[in-house]
Amino acid sequence: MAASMDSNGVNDGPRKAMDFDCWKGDWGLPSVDVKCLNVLTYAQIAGINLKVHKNRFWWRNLTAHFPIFQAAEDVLRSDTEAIQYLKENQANLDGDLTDQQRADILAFKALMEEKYLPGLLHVWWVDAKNFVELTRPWYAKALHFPLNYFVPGQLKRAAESRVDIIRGGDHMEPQEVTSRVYSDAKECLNLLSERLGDEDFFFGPVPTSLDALIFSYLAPLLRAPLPSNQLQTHLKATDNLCRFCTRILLRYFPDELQDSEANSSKKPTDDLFDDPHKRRNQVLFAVVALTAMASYAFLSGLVRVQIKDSDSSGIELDYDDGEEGQ
Amino acid sequence: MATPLVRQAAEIHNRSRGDQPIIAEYLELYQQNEVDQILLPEQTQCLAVKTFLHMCNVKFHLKMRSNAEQMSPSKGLPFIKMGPQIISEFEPIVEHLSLKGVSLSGELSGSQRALLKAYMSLTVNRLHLAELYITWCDKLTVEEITKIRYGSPYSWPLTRILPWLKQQEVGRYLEAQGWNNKTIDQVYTEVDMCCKALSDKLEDQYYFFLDRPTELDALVFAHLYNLLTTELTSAKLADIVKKYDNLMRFCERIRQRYFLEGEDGEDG
Repeated sequence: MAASMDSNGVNDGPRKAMDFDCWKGDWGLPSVDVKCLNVLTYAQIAGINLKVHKNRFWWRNLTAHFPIFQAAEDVLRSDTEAIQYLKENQANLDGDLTDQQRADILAFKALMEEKYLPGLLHVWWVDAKNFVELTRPWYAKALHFPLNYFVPGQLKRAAESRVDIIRGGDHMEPQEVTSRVYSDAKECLNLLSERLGDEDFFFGPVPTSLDALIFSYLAPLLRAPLPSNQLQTHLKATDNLCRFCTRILLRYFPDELQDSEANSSKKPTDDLFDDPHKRRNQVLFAVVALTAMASYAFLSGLVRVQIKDSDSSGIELDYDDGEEGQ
Repeated sequence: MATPLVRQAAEIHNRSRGDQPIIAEYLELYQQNEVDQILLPEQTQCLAVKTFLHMCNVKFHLKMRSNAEQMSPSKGLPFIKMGPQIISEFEPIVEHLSLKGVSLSGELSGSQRALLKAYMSLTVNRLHLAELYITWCDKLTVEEITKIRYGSPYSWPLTRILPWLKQQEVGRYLEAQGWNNKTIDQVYTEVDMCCKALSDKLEDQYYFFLDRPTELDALVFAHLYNLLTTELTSAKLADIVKKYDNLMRFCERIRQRYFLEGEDGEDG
């Protein structure tokens, strides 16, 4: 499928290596971040090979800003620019569309940013339950050691202030902001569902960059195991959007999906404590506890040890200096 | 409970296209002074609401208050007063009126409604942000136009402080939208892309959907018309719009139809 898409490549010149740094994936998705997923999906649908890196050079990227797209000397830090680059230099999925359809793509992109993104940010970062139980642990695990302590908090604050500035304000209670953000997002989902109808993709049977974009917005919400899932329930209730996401996952990311299913089937056994160092920690804990108890008993005089220097002459130290020196 | 609803529905149904004024209540529209105070983004929002009300054939009384921004419940302009209710900003006003039975987009199909909303988001998301950027972030415009006009109703210390506060506020808003790092040329490119999309969508039709105006037409008209006519330090924005003939014709058509008959809506 992917190979057949390759035929409308714009420029079949020397293919340079393209590096792509992004957030790692989970729950059957190649990446959990909207922007990273957008580029990955576009590349996958267009049959472009990206060298995907996760957690590379973390010390150069201390704010954990992803995605980073590198092709030769170009370094692009936004999904729009990266896709623009892919369209110009590799394969353009929108080549066969009319001008009006291309305008529609731009309009839907604006719709998602305007109506849906605040809702998604709210679910991910602002909702306290989701943040404590899912988002923070997940990002802390995904990040390298010193970053995992402060980057999740940074991302949360950025998302919070963004939602507040765009949708809230001094005149609104937090509760009102929440309900407004969710009702906007739900309305947006309904509109998308009506637009998609019974089609396979948004412009008929062939996927375009709009499908990659909308998939990247919907899939993380659909697949993440969210504890507080008002918006997720709404998305799951809109049948055709769910089928749309599953269709793209099955067609373009079958491996990821299989991996996640394999994981989830074996998960219930070690679900509660999936710490890889569980055994080591238990041993360490026992040793520390025993040492503490023993030293307490010893120091407080509960136990006494008498040392008698009766036959200390039994130890013999035997060095052979001459040969060591050579 | 059901009877008044049914009656309302019947009433709405009978009025096929909102030709007669439906809202008997006295409707007031508040905005800042047009001559020496109002700025491009607010001017656009006000014109959008006025156009929308004209299209719905709803009569209103225009009130200009220098402190309209502080009067508005959400700090957004314009706001309308219908009896005891005060509603501010374009989208809530459109929604509120449609609850009252005054709607221009009621007959669109689901898929068309999705497109309508999408293009409205596009207009808001690009053109409105661009207007804010030009008004509050472009150094020359800020010093020569924005601060003077915004501070004009106040006396000395406030005339300096309030524009500065507003500038900070707009700066935070643009930052949240990811526009703070854009250069002026990138902003022009965004405007151009948006105009191209609108022009491609409109093609040679009279209006964006069907053969009659919707709220999208009101919004797009307001933005384009103000980009064309507002005096700024550079005519670049007007030049961008002028590249698209069909958009120019569209603006002229709406202006002739809704603003040449006089009424409260003369714009400068």
